[in-house]
Amino acid sequence: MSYVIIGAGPAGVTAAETLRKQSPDAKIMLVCDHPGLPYSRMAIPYLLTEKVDEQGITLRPDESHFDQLNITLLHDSAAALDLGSKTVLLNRGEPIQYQKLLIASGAKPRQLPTPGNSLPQVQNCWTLEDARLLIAHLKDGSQVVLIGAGFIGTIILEALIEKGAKVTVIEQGERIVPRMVGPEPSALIRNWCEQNGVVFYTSSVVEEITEVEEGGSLLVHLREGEVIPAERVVVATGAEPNCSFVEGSAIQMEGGIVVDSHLRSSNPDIYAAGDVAVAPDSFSHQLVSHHAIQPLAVEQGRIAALNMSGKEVEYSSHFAMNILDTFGLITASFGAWEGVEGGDSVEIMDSTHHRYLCYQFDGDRLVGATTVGRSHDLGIIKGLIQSKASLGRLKEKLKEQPERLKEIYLEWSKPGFRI
Amino acid sequence: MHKALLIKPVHCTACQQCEMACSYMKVGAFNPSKSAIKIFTFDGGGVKVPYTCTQCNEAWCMMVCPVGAITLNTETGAKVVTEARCVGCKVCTIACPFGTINYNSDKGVVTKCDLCNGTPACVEVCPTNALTYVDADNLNSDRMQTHAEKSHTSAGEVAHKTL
Repeated sequence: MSYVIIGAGPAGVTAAETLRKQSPDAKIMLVCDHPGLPYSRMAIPYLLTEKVDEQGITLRPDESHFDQLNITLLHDSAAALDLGSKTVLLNRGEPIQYQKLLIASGAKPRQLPTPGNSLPQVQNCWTLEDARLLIAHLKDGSQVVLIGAGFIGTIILEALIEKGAKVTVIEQGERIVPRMVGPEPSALIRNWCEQNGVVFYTSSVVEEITEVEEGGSLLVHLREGEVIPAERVVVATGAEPNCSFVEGSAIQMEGGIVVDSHLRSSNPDIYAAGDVAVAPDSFSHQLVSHHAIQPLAVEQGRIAALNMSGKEVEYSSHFAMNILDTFGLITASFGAWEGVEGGDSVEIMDSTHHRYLCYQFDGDRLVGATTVGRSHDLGIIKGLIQSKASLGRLKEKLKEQPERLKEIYLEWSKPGFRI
Repeated sequence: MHKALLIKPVHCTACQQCEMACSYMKVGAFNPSKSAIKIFTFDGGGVKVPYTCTQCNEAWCMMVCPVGAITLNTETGAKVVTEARCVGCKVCTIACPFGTINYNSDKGVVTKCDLCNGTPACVEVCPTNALTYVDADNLNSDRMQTHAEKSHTSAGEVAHKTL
């Protein structure tokens, strides 16, 4: 069997390893669009803050990992697919043939549709190259404008501040991390960040970025009239699937590659996993790609690979989960954190201590949650949501005592404990 | 032959020796809040349940770690955090469905049970044998199966069990 995987992020790498476990003799080719070893984009903030060096962000620490597994790491990128001859056309090298193909080419940052967006002082913080560029230009006290206060933007924010930058954040939406938490927890995080020196402009749109002098400092002009000086602008306005090479083929696309419950695309020999794949959300049932969520990318890579190697394994837990650390304030959200129609919820707000807790239920099942100011036992929330656990009478107990999640979980998982 | 932690809640008196010993191993201080094993009490203290990592086979924490900081100790079967490699991103803490890997904000890394490299301190100090370290084969597979089904993991993924 000959497998080709396009993309060497967490989904692609996990898929390659899973395929190897399943098929000791198969030919496995992993197409990696950057030089060097596969690395983790989500670890980039820790590179910025010098918590780790470049070796510290590689997905697999052992340099010979892929050689040992006899996985061919091909440094190239896909240009187009020829479904008839089962061939991937590459941008540099000769076309490669596959029997089963996994597309795990990830996402790319959405570009800012604003005059001045291509100035050299304006950049993303998405790739290792971006990180190197940012590190080279950041000095203690640098004035940075960060455009976008989504999940990724907010993670970068923490790193920028830790590097000593003075950061102003411009967010188009009404609140920060709008797709991760609701208005109340969002306000808590914002308040906490402001206490740590961050300036926010929400409901604000960047109209233009201009240079004060060529190659020098910048002015960021807001639609609302404000003009903010900056030495550097970092753009984090969201992501979109990185699959232009699939366009024009017969593969069904809908904001990404549409996959079935086995992560198979509309072509029976082609699978998709990670940010490039869109599947029905477990709760909203709408076709979505939950971008930049490591556990989902890994799980999809694993399940796609199992299906590619002939095991029928269903992918059934397609819901978002995020954890964010802003200056020591830890926020997490899971699944249908906004709630579901006909569902109910329990909520505790303690704004004095920047703590918040909300569980969302559908009948007696936990379907979503948001936590601010806690870091323990978070996995249990994910476990309960993922297993679609029927909590029975324990649901009411959880609503009465939301802080006692772990005890209630134990009671649920091992009912024999109760006499 | 792997050994596994066998927990018998019926023998547990909630004396917290295990939590003390574990935290001493983990952070060098007797501080149950830093322990990787926790005792929970139910029914007003009538039922006590020690709870820790099951060292599951397809470990979510190990699979999702973006920098390969969690690895398998092939001798003990434990999934072990390499603190020098952990960046503190906490993704494992939301991926583990059992909630048994947690962030230590003092150290900036995650902590979980690593079976103390084959000599679990919790077992050493447990005065009632509620915690023992036994051959994994001796574990009753039916009970494992029940727990696994409830937790939606495969039976093979549950390395320790509760009697």
